[in-house]
Amino acid sequence: MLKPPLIFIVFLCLGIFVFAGFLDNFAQAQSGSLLPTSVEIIVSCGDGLAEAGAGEVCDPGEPPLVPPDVGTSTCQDFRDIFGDFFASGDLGCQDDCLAFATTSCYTCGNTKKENAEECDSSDFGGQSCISFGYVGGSLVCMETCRISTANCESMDEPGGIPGGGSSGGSSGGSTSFQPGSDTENETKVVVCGKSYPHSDVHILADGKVIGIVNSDAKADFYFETDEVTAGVASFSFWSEDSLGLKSTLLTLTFRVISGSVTTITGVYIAPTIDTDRDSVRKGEDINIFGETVPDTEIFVHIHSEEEHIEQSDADEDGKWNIVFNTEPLEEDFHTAKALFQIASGGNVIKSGFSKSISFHVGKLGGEAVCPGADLNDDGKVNLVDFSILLFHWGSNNEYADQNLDGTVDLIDFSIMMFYWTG
Amino acid sequence: MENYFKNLIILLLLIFPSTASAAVLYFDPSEETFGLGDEFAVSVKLDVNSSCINTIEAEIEFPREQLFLKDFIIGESIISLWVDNPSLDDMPQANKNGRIHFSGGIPGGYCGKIPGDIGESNILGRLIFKLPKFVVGAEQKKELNIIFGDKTRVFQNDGFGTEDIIATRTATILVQDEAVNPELDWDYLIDRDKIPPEPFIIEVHRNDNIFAGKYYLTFNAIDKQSGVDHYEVLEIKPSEEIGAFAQGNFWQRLFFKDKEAPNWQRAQMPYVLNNQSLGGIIKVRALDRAGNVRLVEYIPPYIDTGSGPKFNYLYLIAGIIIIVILFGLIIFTFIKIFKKLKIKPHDKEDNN
Repeated sequence: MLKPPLIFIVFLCLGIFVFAGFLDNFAQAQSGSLLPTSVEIIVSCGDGLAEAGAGEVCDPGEPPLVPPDVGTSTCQDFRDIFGDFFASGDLGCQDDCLAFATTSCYTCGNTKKENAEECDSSDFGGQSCISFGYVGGSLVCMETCRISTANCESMDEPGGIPGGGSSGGSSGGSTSFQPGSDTENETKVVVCGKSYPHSDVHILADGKVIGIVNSDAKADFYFETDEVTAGVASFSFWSEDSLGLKSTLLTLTFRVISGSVTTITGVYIAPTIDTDRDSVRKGEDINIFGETVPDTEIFVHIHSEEEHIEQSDADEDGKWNIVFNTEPLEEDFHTAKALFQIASGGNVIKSGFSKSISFHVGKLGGEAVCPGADLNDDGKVNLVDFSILLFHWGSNNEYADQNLDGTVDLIDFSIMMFYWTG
Repeated sequence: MENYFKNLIILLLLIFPSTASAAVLYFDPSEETFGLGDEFAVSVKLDVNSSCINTIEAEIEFPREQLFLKDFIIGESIISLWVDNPSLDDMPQANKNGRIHFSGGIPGGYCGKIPGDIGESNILGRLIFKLPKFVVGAEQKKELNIIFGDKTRVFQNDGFGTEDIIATRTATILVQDEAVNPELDWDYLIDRDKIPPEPFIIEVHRNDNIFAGKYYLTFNAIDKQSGVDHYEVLEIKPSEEIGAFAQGNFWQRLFFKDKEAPNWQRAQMPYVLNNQSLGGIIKVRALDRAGNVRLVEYIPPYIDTGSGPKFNYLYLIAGIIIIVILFGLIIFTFIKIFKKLKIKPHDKEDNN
């Protein structure tokens, strides 16, 4: 009996092994090529077409771009909690496409407040005048099942803050949906303010960038958006001047009322600021400069044991400059920050303070601590930097430890909130 | 007596200038009567004075034997970035300790109410309490205090992380035997909340300084109604199904039979990806307190399906090489056998 060599057996097994793997892989590749990566069941449910073959009863679409598909069914085919057919409303479809949704169906006058109604008879869904920002009184339910706040007692106007003012669009704070109407009232926020001439103004809502607009030669900018959700919102603004200097982030927090146009006027972005040198000898001049609204007064606050306030005027291009002699300052680190002031209609309007810049007076070579919170050096301070900060939380990482106190903590988070750009 | 008044005046002089310019953290209502079995909401609010505040850390203490904390709702909060946001799952621990902690911030800071703003826009969160009908192992108190703990602090929006002076105020709950049945407006808020969290963006990042250079996700969703409760992440390949073992290729079936089936994982930002080859679709869903879901997907530009449907030319080349060697060996063996068979008759003749 002839015995095949051992190496032959080994290679035979190995060959079969590898070839089987290849064949299996090839077979799967053939079947896999039929699997488009972008197609999923979630995609088919939500495309606005009720595909009966896929078991869909209806399709919610993605209003307003993709309208729902509910076939010939209407709200009148379904009953309310009293067993009566709904009188009005728009029939919807549940998110899984397996059943209709009657959440927008209603019968005004059946004493039960349905989702699409603001009220029904005495049913206000737990709301009171206080819910609408009034101090007392009682709500009234109108025949259209909309709430009237006519009998509510209004609150006193609170005191203001520098940096902006807002005016609510529709008074009374009524919500948007009008029973019997096919459309919702538009919820919109309009912003008017001043930054620097011909500069980009970045607008953030709750920390996320929602738009960039350009200011004109007078530094005025205007922005409006209807992509807002009713509720408490923080709108933030920052700008960059012609020298590439960034402003501080100005944030205004207010309540966006559903179905109303909320106009914010007087959004004044603080001046930009910088120095020509980081360190000067005592008695030498230091040049402090920046940009702001044209033809306004600039006040620069220089902090030392005694605060020094210097005044200058911005030119027609918004540029300002102060030459400050450091003789009265002690040898140490100092900071400077600026604000602009303008008289308007008998009132004096002030912006908030700019960033604080540090400089050193004394022996040359001093370097000010200048945290920027841009932990990944991409020129922005946003969620990515926040994630890096969270990663290093509690450690002594030198990148994330902005104030160099040996621990990454809420102080560093606070510094990041100050430098946020979105 | 004289000393007493002297000390009192000194104390007032010390306190007054501080609180006059301080930020104020307080509860709303500050004093209210509720009955046993009642559920009620207490809002945590912030009033600022001359300084804008961008970071808040609050520790709230309550009598755990007498009060049951049901929830902490952040839907109407002015805080948009949370460092510590207690979820529903954190409530048992909070009730065990009689203490809840939260922290977060507002980019650019909160500078107070704007003239003309008709709504409440200084809420940090709402505590939902229940007064138990019976108190076990302790005497029912008639007056319960909810207070801010020592860890409570706020920071100015000045770029230096300066801690601001704060004044805190206590809330007093007066307990009576009969239930008051206050308006359950937060229940209504959650029941009525049919709106999912707002659309958000997920981004894949990599940084040498964190997670040892691994890919990770960033995301942050906002929900203006009941507030975001938590996030879940799913990493899935096109050939896989949720909860089911994917049929891998020959090699994976041979060596990785115990591979975990893809499923939704509760996640926090930043989230390190399990699949560092970015070989699958990444889905993140934000769930609010009412259970509404916002789903966002990230499909990498090139999907390395890894576990299956990819034609791998390495296998083909390796197979061809081994087959060629194999055939060479077979031919070599046959030649050797043939030679042996050819030699054998001569051997026999020689022997004869």
